[in-house]
Amino acid sequence: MITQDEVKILKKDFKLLNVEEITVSFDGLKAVDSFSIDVSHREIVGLIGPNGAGKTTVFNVVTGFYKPTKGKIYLEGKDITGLEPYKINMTGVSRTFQNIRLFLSLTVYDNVRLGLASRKGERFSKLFSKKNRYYEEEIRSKTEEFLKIFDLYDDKDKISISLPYGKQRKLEIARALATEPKILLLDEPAAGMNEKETNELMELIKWIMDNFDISIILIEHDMKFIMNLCPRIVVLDYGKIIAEGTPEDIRNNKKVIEAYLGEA
Amino acid sequence: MIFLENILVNIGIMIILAVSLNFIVGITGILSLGHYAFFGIGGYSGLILSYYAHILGIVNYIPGFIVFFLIIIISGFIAGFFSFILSFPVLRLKGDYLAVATLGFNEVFKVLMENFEFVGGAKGYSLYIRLGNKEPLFSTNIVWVYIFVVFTLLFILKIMRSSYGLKFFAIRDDELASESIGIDISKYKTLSFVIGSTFAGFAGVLFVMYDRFYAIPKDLSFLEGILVLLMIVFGGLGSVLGSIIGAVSLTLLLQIIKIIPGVSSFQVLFYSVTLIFIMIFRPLGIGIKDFDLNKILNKVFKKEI
Repeated sequence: MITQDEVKILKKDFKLLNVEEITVSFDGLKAVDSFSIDVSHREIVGLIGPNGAGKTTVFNVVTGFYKPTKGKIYLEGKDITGLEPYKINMTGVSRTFQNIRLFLSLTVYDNVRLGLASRKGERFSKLFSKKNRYYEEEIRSKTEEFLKIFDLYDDKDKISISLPYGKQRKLEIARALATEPKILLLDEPAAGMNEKETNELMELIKWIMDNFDISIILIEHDMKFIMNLCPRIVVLDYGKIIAEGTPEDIRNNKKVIEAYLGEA
Repeated sequence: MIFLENILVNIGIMIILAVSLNFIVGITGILSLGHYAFFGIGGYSGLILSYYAHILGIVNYIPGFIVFFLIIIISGFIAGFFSFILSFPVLRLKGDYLAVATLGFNEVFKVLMENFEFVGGAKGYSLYIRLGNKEPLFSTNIVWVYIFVVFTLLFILKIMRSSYGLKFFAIRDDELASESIGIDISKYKTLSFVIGSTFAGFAGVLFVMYDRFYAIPKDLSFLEGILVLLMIVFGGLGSVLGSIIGAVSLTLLLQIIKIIPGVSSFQVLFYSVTLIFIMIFRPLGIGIKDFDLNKILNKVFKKEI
């Protein structure tokens, strides 16, 4: 017998990522309130909103760092609600952090290598088998490929903490991308970058969109940046979606202007 | 000569202990203060297994060195098994809380051993007496110790140098980021803890089966255990070569202190003073950047990737 719920699921039109009415409350305070978003294959969606609107909380829920109080999250039709973060990453969701979180004592090379290595669920016993050598070789060449794409190859033996800020951001994106995600969540990737770096990052994200089979959700405060990149933008305020649409719509939306500038 | 061998054996055992503790504390970032308990578990298991090997006549059929080898391995696994069980409650904790919880291991184990008549209680377990004032047919010698030193080093370095082992460093640096790129941190922490403790178990057997053939709970106090921690902090956390240098230098220093009359009772004072000086002047250890074992090994094992 198929239950009512299962029929619902079967009838549902699944996109790459379906977030359905998730609510996150901290002691009664609703950080995110009935938030829904669908992301298709190879789509880039912008997520904006004033400070404290709950944008990062949405990321934390989708990547499993917080458990939603209510609601469901599906990746390619598979329910990933409440799974542990590492399992969610394995199914194909990868992220970067607002305050960069690199492995600071490791080299640039090792940071990217870790992204690739963790993708494969290899066993401890394999470490001592002969195949391991080919496996390591494969990871090595892929790592170098990634480093070249992100223009970090010359810095590969540097300890990651010694990199300038812009490159640390880039390295974090490279590491996230190395886990071969289906969807990438970028949390303020342009924060703290100068104009030149921001433009480079924009080109890089466009390049990633063209060359990887990947979707992106982007949180960003730099309006020029986000309006340039995202054909679809979702605006969040006090945990609720207040507007959704093209950059044109958003720019002229009264609610959005109110949220950012206060009521006139 | 015997004196020299004695020192070399002690150094070897301390190297195993320091390198394995370094794997847990320095590389994976689990601040475990209970390493010496697994050393003790290995030691007691080794003695008990040796006793039964003699009583049941196993030694009459199988050559002594094979029996001894098996005993070392099994005792290590017993220590590893206990660490696996203990990892469930303990590895849920973080930072200082974890340190305090593991601090209890030593004391709990010591008290248990003092009260179990089966293992001789507070008087300790003497294999020599139990076998009717006879020496066992096998014992640790300098060769056994250094075989295991080499084995420990190869094993730990092999892990450290692989992409698999890189995950342990990642967990030390940032647990959240590790999870975000798909590393099952609880699995890797448990693995690190169990591997480290297993090697401590090996060291324990080698220690009790050298010359003395007894284990006594008194020796398992926390203060003895802190010495190993001192060694790895001295050598620099996370550095295998540092752990070796720490083990060698501090063991030698302690031997010298023990010889000087009147000073030996200040052993504990020596620990604390050394630790304070390291913390003030070289908080990252003696620092051996220019002489990196990994780099040398990279050259030696170049073809192995």
